[in-house]
Amino acid sequence: MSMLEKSVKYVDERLGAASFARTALRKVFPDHWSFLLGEIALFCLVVLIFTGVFLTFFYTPDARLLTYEGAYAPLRGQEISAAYESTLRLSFEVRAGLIMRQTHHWAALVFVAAIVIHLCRVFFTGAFRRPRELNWVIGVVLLLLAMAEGLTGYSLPDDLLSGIGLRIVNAVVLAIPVVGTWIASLLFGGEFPAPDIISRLFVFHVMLLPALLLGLVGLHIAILVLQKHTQFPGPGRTERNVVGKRLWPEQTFKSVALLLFTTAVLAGMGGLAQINPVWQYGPYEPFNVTSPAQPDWYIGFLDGALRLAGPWRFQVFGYEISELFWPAIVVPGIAFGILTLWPWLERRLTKDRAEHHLLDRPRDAPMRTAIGAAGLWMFFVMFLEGGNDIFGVLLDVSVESITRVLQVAFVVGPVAIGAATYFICRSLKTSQLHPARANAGLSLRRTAAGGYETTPLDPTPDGHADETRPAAPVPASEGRPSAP
Amino acid sequence: MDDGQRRDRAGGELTGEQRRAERRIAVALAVTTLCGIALFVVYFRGGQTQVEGTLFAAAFLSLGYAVAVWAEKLLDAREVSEDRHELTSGPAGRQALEDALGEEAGPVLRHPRRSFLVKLLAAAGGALGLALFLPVLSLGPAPGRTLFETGWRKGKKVVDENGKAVAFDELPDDGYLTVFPEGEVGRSDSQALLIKVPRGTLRLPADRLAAVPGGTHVAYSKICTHAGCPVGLYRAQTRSLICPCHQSQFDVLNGCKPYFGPAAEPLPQLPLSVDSEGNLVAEGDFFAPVGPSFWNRGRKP
Amino acid sequence: MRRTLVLLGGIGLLALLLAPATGSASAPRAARVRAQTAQDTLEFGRDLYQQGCVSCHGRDPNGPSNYATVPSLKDVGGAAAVDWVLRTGRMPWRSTVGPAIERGKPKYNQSEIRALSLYVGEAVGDSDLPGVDPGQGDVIRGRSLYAQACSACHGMNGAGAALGGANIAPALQGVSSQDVAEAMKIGPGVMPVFEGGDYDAAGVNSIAAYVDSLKTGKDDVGGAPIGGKGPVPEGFVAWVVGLGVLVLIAKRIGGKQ
Repeated sequence: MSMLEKSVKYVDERLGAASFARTALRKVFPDHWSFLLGEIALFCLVVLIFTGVFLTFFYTPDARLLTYEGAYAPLRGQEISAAYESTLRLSFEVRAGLIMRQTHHWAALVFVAAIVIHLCRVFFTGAFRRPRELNWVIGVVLLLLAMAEGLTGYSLPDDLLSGIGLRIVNAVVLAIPVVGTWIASLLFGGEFPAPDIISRLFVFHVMLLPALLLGLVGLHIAILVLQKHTQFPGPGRTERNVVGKRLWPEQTFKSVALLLFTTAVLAGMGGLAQINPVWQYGPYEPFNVTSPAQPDWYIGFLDGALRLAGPWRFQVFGYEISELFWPAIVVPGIAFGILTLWPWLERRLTKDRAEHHLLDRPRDAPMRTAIGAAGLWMFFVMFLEGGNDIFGVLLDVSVESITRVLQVAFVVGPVAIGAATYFICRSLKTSQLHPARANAGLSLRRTAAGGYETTPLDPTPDGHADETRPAAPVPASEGRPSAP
Repeated sequence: MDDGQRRDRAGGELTGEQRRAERRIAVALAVTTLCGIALFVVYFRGGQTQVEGTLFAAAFLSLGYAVAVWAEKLLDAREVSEDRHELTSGPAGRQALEDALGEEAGPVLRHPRRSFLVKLLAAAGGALGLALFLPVLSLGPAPGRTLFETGWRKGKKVVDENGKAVAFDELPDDGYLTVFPEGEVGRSDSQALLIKVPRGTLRLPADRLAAVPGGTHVAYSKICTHAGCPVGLYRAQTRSLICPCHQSQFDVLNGCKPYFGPAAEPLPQLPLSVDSEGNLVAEGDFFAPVGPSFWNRGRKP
Repeated sequence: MRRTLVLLGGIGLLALLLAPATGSASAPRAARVRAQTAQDTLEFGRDLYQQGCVSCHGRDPNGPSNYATVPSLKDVGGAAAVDWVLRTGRMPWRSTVGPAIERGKPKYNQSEIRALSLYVGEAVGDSDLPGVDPGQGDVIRGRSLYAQACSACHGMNGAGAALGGANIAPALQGVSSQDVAEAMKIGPGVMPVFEGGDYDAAGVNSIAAYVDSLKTGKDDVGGAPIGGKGPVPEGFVAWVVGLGVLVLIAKRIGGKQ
């Protein structure tokens, strides 16, 4: 017996794992590239954990002051917090420290971006429908956890830029009606800038949030495996089967390759592109500020919302509703509320309670796609406003003009974008054309019954129509020439 | 079966395409190996971030490439179909669960005074459950009056960031300075901006103007009333302040009222006077609570 | 050999003919200026002022300007202001709208600028041209003063920022120590005046030393600084480079069903 056979026998005799392993390895997963987006997020998480553990050995989560005597000359002799000092030491004096820190930060940015694009894929293809509503909710929670991880993480170095961000977080918590002042005091350990906040953020970032994150990721994947992955409609694909490649060897190899490529991209960025140069910002002092001042991108849309909103403070029987309440609590609350509850909202709108394992193309559900596009537009406008001073300098336009334009875009845009998207979807659904490929025209034929039917023509490699090879035929009932 | 037989089982000759793929994999793995070795060299010579990044990226890229080419060219990859199983246990399965639950707990659940016990259980659980959250209250003090008060008091000398007292004639025209109460330099809630404006330009009500020594030296809280950022950007020409965080703009000559952006309240003014030595001193705390809004801001305890 | 000599001679002749066109129109005058006395400098300055500045700033620098939107030179900072604004090429005003913010190629040469500054300075009663020596400054104190006075508008790393309206705090990476010293004294545009107290000669030297350290880019040890404007360009790079490349890789690895 070979070593491998002996090991398998050993484990199987104790755990009975062989037949389970066989079933698992033979599982079929559909092979579309857009199903790999969630894996990109997962592999960013792997890189985050690997680099994060390293950073934890060097970082000191303590706001106590000490005198800096390290490598960064302009700060020598200055009083800085131990947290900031340990970050500087990690960046300048620990070998491989800076690349680990930068890779960690880039991985965080790409992690949330990958989650968002994965969420968009799931949303626009209707993969959240029964029986996958629970997994959708878990996914939205994972997005929020990832954002929280990022916020707590970039605030740990106690530098000027992230300290300003924490001040805004404190203000937002204060804006919660009735209990805001209490929550702020309990969370921060007193009036801002309570020094305890750094060590508390560390507890969230390193212990509480990762525990939740890993647990929910495990659940997310387990449910996916149990329910089997969805698939796009096509030859041989029905609601009752899964067509694709097996977990072993094909999908394992592809996933391993993607993991390696993800690590390569993140490590490359970590070494070649500077991110969050905390030594330049200096230590956090509550009376100093730097411009421009923005948080990381996944919190940037909230900062943009704060800039977009107006001075809407109200008095109610002597109590105050802060102007932060609307952009920081109401708008995100509604947005993420709709996002979380979307499977049930859509079910109410479409009256579709069936189980779905075949995916929609976005055009097949014009209402959903239109609402999704409108929602994405609103997020995009908030992002742009978050960088309004930077775009102002870039485009040579005043920040006031940018704000006014984006305020209008936030209100008017979703309606226009939603309507346009809706009609484009309807049109594409009828014409069966691919939105990104060259339009080679339609072939018009007389049917035996005397009516007409159109067939889109497949463009030949040189872009011209090939009358001998029509593409997917339009169903006879819709055999009308569609508007181009 | 021994190893040799197993390896041959997959088939005999490789195609030309597969042989080319093998060569590419070999080159890629060689690149990875070299980069790995180079990383050792770089590390033990002190390390350099950009070189480390390039080598790591190249190493992982080529390894990933090797695996990807293997997946695409050397695997016997076929598309297969697998049936989905019914996800539900069906009514029979659920009934069995119910029976199992009901069976074991029979006498307890059939107790005639069950509802009374259950209510008592709920009360016990509620009280104890809430009590378990008590330690959370130890995380911080009651907000109390802290949000309403700063370190400024009547008679406190105005000092700069280095603790030096600020004399009345010290600031140049259109100059500004971040100031603190004496002995509390760096105290966040007490940070204030001292600005010298030309005499006669301030448009304040009489009682507020009386708190501006010489009609020129006016002081406001530096904490933005929107979200708390220090409003450090003073535009001397227009005598206005702009907050870098969300672009709220305040008119210094008009009591720092906000005229653009999301801030709703003016920056609170700090009343000043001049003492016998010619230094600036405060006449009291700010005229309003500093910083962003909170629920009971209008009801000082 | 003969051909080489003819070629060299031809080039020399061409150079002689073209030389006047490469210098400024007043190059021959500049040669004379060097030999002049202080009084001549003032007169030279007045001549230049009459030629280039009167149309907007008025006949007398100490009097009102000719347009409401043009500041009188009476209280803009005297000789230092003229020196700063001409050396950085912000004046003569090139834009069609808005204040003179953008740096540009200076129109006047060194001695012309000196003459104009001295003339205007003498006319308005402020001839003080601040001296600065970053070598004498302490970069540690400079960083601390910079955080106190400058970072709010110019950013801790000197990347500059928008200030609302048409105003911009320019980036400081291409800026000389003389520019720093003069700007602090003048308070150009919307910038306040930083003079006296912490901003004495030693303070200015220290701030100049810190600004110098920003220019070298030596502390960009993490790699390409991506504009130094913080998380917004970083987020852009994360999406376009990071996620973009990975999605392309996924498209290549995955199926296209």
